[in-house]
Amino acid sequence: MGTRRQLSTIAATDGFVSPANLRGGGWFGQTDTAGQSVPSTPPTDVVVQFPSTEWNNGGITVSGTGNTAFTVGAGIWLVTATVRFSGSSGGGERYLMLGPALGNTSTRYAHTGLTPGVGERSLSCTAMVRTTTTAAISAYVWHDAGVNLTLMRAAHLAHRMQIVYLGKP
Amino acid sequence: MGSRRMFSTIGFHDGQTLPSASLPSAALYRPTAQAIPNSVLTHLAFTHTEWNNGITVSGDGTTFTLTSGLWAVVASVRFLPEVAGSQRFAGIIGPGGVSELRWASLSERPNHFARSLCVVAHISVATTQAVAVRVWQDSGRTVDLDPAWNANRVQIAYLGK
Repeated sequence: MGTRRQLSTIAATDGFVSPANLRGGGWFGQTDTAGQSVPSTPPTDVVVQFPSTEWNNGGITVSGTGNTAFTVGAGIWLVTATVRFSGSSGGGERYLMLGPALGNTSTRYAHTGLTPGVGERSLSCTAMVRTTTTAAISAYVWHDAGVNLTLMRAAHLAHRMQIVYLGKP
Repeated sequence: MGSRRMFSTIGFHDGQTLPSASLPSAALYRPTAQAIPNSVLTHLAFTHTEWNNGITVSGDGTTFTLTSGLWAVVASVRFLPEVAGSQRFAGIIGPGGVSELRWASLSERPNHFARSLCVVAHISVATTQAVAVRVWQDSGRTVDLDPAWNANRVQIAYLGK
């Protein structure tokens, strides 16, 4: 009797559905070619929608219009997101952030940004989140281009949110 | 004897993180500004701990000692705006303080510079090794890291053998 056989009997509460199926999921925006509009006025954090499921091994509850909040159970989780802003001649900055869901504006787990000029720009962001109970996670964008911008969900499938379980908290 | 008991006897080097124990990991951040001198590679000093499951952190909060294995290292860095100079850099520095595991850079003046970094660090030697987050800027003057949102963070977790 090897340890691998024993591993297969371990319940999902240990974070593994089975040794071959790590808890986690991936969401993207392929089916929505219209993209998500991000208003310019006032510049504010806008929660990002990831309307399509790429894979889901369980352990994550998704909620909100267009899939905006990802609730995980106790554990340490790796979270990564990618978005692509439409181009604009309006200048300004573009940001992508990961943080608590439900309108929390004071904490951001990760933060990335750039000054893009007129072209389209992609941003990626990664964070680890630890919770002993549950935690709801969202991705946010912000810009001050002066005109409405679009998150280009269908462009190169570069609009993604991925979450995987790393271990016990 | 249940499977949980069996599992608890499995070491890290079986490729699984011990489900019966907390994952070796840590997360630290800095809620206050840190002055970054001109043209000096500077380690970020993380002054506050969000959690720490057994990672050795130096007294000044700049380096993190890891044991042999594969580790995920994630960092977020944000400079305040500065009009002068041409470059802002942020990176995760590998074993021995010399390997540049991951760098991000861009000319961002006069706006903020914010970067999210992620790397898998392979600590292959038998002895422990340290990693750190390091930044650089060439504005000609000192520039502070932006303390807003506790944006300057590092997170480390063990992945496996």
